[in-house]
Amino acid sequence: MTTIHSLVGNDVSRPIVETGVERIVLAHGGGGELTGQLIAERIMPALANEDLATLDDSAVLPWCSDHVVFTTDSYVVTPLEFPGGDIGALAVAGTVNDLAVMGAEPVALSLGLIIEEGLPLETLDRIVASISQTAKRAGIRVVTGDTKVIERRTGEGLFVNTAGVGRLIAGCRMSMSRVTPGDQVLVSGTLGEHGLTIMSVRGGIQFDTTLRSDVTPLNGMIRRLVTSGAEIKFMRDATRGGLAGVLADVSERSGFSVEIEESALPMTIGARYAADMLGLDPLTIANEGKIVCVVANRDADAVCDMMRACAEGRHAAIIGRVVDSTPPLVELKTTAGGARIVQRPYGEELPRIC
Amino acid sequence: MCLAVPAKVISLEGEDGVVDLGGNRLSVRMALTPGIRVDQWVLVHAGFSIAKIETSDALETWGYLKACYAGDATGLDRDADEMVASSRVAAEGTAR
Amino acid sequence: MMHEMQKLRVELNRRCDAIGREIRVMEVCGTHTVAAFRSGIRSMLPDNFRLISGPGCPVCVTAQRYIDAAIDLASLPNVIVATYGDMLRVPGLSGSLEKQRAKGADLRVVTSALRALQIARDHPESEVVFLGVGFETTSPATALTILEAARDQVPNFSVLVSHKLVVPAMVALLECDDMSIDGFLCPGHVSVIIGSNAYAPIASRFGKPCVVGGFEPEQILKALVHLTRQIEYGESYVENVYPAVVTESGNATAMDILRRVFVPGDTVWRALGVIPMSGFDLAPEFQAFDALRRFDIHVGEDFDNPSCRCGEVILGRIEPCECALFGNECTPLTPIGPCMVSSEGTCAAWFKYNRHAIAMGARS
Repeated sequence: MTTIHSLVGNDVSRPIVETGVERIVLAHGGGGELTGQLIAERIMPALANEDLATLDDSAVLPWCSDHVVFTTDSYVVTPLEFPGGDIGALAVAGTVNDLAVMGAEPVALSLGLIIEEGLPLETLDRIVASISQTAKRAGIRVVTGDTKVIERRTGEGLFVNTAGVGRLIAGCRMSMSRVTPGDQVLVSGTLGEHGLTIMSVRGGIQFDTTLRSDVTPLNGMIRRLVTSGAEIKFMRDATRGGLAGVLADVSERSGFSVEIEESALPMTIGARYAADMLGLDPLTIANEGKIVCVVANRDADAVCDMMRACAEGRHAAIIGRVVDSTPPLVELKTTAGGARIVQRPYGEELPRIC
Repeated sequence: MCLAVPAKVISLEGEDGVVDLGGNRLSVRMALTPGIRVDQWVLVHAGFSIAKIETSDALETWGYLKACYAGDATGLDRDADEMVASSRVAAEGTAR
Repeated sequence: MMHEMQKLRVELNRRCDAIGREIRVMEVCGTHTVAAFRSGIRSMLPDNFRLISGPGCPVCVTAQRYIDAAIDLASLPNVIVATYGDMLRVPGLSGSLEKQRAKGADLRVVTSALRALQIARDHPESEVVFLGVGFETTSPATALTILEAARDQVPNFSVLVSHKLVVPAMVALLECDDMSIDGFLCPGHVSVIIGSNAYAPIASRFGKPCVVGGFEPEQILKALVHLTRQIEYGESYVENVYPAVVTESGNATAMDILRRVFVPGDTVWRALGVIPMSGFDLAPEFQAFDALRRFDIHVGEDFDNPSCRCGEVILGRIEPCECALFGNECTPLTPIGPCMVSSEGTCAAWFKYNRHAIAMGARS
């Protein structure tokens, strides 16, 4: 769920003048010798496993589960590498998290690379290494893949698609329809760091920051939560659209209102200040390693403690509750003592100066 | 209109300065606040410092920002600093 | 802090009760608009206190003809247009800059005019046009950037100037026949530059209290309390409750630079029309940096949508929800009028934070 469009125009006119930098050429996608070499030398060593190694047209996976959970997502980000992560980490963690929040144990990923002619091979190497590392952390394998090369546009382009399959953990049933008044709303950690980090490395906006993207696979933490017996009714990762987007969905689709406390929202000083500086509402900024959980009231404290026991969830907090009021809205109780309605953002949030 | 934020001057070179906003560092042109010195606080708008601020006033706003969200009570910012430190070590280990 | 907030709320309520009629205070600063919504200040105002959002958003008041000119510039081959983020979605006669980018225009979002100048230095083969919008807080940044471009003889940098002045607009509002405002919450960061004395004519000539306020919830509330105090006692003078950064005379360096680079001139405000001496033109010696001259762009006319009531919203005559288009045809995704376009726009702020206010009111 990570599409970040370029804010800046692309410099197509600048010719490649440097020497000694190996780059992707169109022939790397031609299906011939060069394609084979690219896959064998650049991709397979990092991702090797017995299913991928066959290089068959499809992976054949053993299966024993009532339900297959299946998802796909495409990743576009500028720049490809940023503090705390890169497009490869996003592609693996994003798809893993999409499976996990449905109550699934992720099993296997596909990896589709669409590479722009001109991409330095060493950039590709770093991203493939990051894919491998992130997959290892998530305990998932890439079992099938595809590589294509498109004509040069920026010379720095790479698009990644990952699909994933997982086994539904027995007894798991995440559904908005189970959400009822009295349920508590939790978030697994600090907000806004991914989106703000990306902004900090964009042309025209750049600033130095201690912020890092929070991109990380959350399936380990989520497995602990969903197998604990706690009554977790709904989970979603708060990616594009941020916390505001997820809560707006909860409210619209459950038909109940959500009340959250500004003073309970976990944020670092760095993120708070960066959001303030850019004129952005922290609630609408993207995260890549945070989930929102709706939990039955009696289990909320236990779930919060379980999250806090995991490194990825150590700043988890109960931020609000589901209430029975019409029309269904998301309402923020402000630290100043007032209230306002939270709505999902309209699209790409742009930094404001005026 | 006109978003402006208080920030502390970290370094100065002629009219160019670097300011700190809660760990975020921004290059700022200081031409509109002549005589400003390192460690003083300025109000920053659109890449320019537009006013000098007495430190206590800046800290008041800063204090508000801190109080606005949870976090300090849980030692969150200290943890975040640790996270940054550890990811930096990790980053240095890679090809970048 | 909460204790202070509570005291301010109690005093505001008490004074509003004592006044006993509808109190109409106008803020002329988009950041006040957003801050009052975002912090929940609006939700705590007494029933008879109406906080009206005046022409305080530079995007809102930027005339359609200017957007058209910017789009014309962005359509030229080999021209890079650099702009603050808010301008991207402002509708011109034929689309927005964002749509022009989709058609292939090279458009860059910057957070400072200096970044635009840097783009010009980095791309000597291209022409870079910076969209100079904003009130007195922002215009010194444009002025200094032009001075730097002149000093360093950067030949491929120019500016489409549409800077506006706050006080002439406030005066123009007060000169409207059916305008009833009890006082002004004056823009804190504009006042950093122009100084609180700049509002003296409004207090003396028109008898309207003027209070310069900051943007934190407590600062806003404090300014509103001071306004109601003056209103209750029938007084009208300028008060500065944002002394941390605002002085009586403003930033002398910035004012000098503005006088050097710009000359005041009549300018057109969206939905308000031409207001005398309410904008800046480039001074003769800097006209080489005028993008309109450099590219021989003709500024056309304005054709406002007849159903759009943004003008009345900006004038404080109606609330956004009184416009038939609001929330129906006109939303942040499909803005018709300028007040919906910017996130600081009165209608956008209402849509985002207040659309369900009536429902909320019914609930509590």
